[in-house]
Amino acid sequence: MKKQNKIKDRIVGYGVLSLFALTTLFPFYVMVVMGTHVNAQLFLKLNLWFGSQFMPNLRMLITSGYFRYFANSLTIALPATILTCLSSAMGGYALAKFDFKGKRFLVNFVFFTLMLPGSLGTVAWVWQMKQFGWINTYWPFIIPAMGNTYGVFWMYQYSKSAVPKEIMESARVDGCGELRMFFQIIMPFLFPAVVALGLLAFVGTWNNYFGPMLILKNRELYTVPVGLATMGSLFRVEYSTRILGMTIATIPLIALFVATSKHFIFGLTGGALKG
Amino acid sequence: MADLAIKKKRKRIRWAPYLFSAPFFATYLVFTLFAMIFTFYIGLTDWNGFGAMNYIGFDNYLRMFDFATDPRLLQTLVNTFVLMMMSMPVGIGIAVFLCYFIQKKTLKKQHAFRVLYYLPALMTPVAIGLLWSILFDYENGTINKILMFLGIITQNIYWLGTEAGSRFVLSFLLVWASFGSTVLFLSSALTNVPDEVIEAAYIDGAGPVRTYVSISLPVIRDVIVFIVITGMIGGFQLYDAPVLLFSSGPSGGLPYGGPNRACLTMMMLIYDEAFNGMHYGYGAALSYGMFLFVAAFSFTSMKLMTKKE
Repeated sequence: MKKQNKIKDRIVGYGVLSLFALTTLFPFYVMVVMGTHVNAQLFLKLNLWFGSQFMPNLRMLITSGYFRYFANSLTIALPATILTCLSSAMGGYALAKFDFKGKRFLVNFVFFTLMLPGSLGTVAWVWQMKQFGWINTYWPFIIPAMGNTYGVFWMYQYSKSAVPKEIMESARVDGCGELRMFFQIIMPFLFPAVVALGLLAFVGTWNNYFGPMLILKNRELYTVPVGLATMGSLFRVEYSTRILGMTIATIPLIALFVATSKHFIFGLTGGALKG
Repeated sequence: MADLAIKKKRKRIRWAPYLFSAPFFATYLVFTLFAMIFTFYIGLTDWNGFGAMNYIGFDNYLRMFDFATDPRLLQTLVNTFVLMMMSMPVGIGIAVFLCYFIQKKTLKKQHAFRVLYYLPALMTPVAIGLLWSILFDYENGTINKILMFLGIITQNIYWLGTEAGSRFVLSFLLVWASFGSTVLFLSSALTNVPDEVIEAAYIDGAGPVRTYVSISLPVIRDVIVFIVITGMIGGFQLYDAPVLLFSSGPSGGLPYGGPNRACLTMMMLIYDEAFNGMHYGYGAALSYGMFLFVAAFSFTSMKLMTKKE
């Protein structure tokens, strides 16, 4: 009797979860399929199975300069992610694990800034980038990435519970310098949260459209989202090619997430939620 | 000698926290906070992006609330509110429902489902907007074709051509793109609910559904509040997906912000004023209008949700 219940439970549970999973994946599926059809037939009938035009579409994508946008996006996202992780981990750890003058004020400051919508300063930010001479450069997306309030808040919460004070004390007794201690002893404790933050930072930078659209004026500098958005109107690229471009833009993010998902979810549990 | 060494170490510890947190605070102050404050100042000028900034007092801030001459701010507020009401309860509802099965001990492999549900949150919003403009296109859209094939409709539905339809598609898009991260947050929080509490409920004769609704969910209420607030702050700043959704479907382009501006969000209005219309001053003022509403909304909802102690 009890065993039967358990089986019924499982069938219902997996049934519901799978139903939602299939619905979630359906738009992805349509996107992948559409990228393999010839544009002229794309909208003539319902295309729910793969076509044979993957290679021609890919070739057209390459000639349109799409992979240049890819390289550009990486050039921005990699350093931005590393800097975000570093400044957030250092800042959060310092606020959580040291006693110093002004600590209360700084922690409250971080909490307060969490409430400010990030785009509040957009108009002045563009003015500021003009003053800096940073229009048409990648600096506006790399340097300010270090000021990630959410990242510092997360690392602060995570450090509080994940870094044991005794380890810090014994390292100091052994004559370990503060900087070396941070990189060699503290970082491994913060690792799951750093991976989670790194993934979010990478995805956020990679997907950012608003900023690059305002700053980057030359087509050779465009990132993937700007390239995708302008492809149709400016350069008359066909739909099927554009859709293939969307598929290819999404793949690195999915691969990255699947590879780090265990850490990501663990970092999420231990971090922001425990506050 | 030893004393001196310890003293030296102490000194270094005193400097360490300032040094470690300096990169964050310095960049935050120079870029984000300065830009926020200076935006308020630009709102007091007639700056057009190139010329001089002439101080004109509070004209921009007053004009923004003069809904008789420019109803757009009010309209974006209504739009945001309607879109939130259409998407957030549905998204959170789905997540709460799915988490009931995800937290069940009798099931395995829940991790894979959580990963799958999160995939839309990774997709570039620009690509999401483009994809959904194709899915819900009037003459060529996949959804219309499927509905036609199944015999549910006999005539194409002009999804993005009507106010109600475009709002439906946009909220559907928002639910699809965000319910996975809600699932992640909720299911992660649910693992923090102590097993003893749940076992005690079982011993008292509560069924699994009852235990989930009246024991587990109240424990993680703070997380739900967090999701609602961040969802709201995000909703006001929504830009990429709605812009691309109406930009260029296969059946032709639609107006910015959708039919009758039914899906015009605050960020879209700010962009249109400041960077398309070259009214940086007015755009800056609108940014503070947005901030005012964000603050009011999140404050009220926080009060409403945490009151029931």
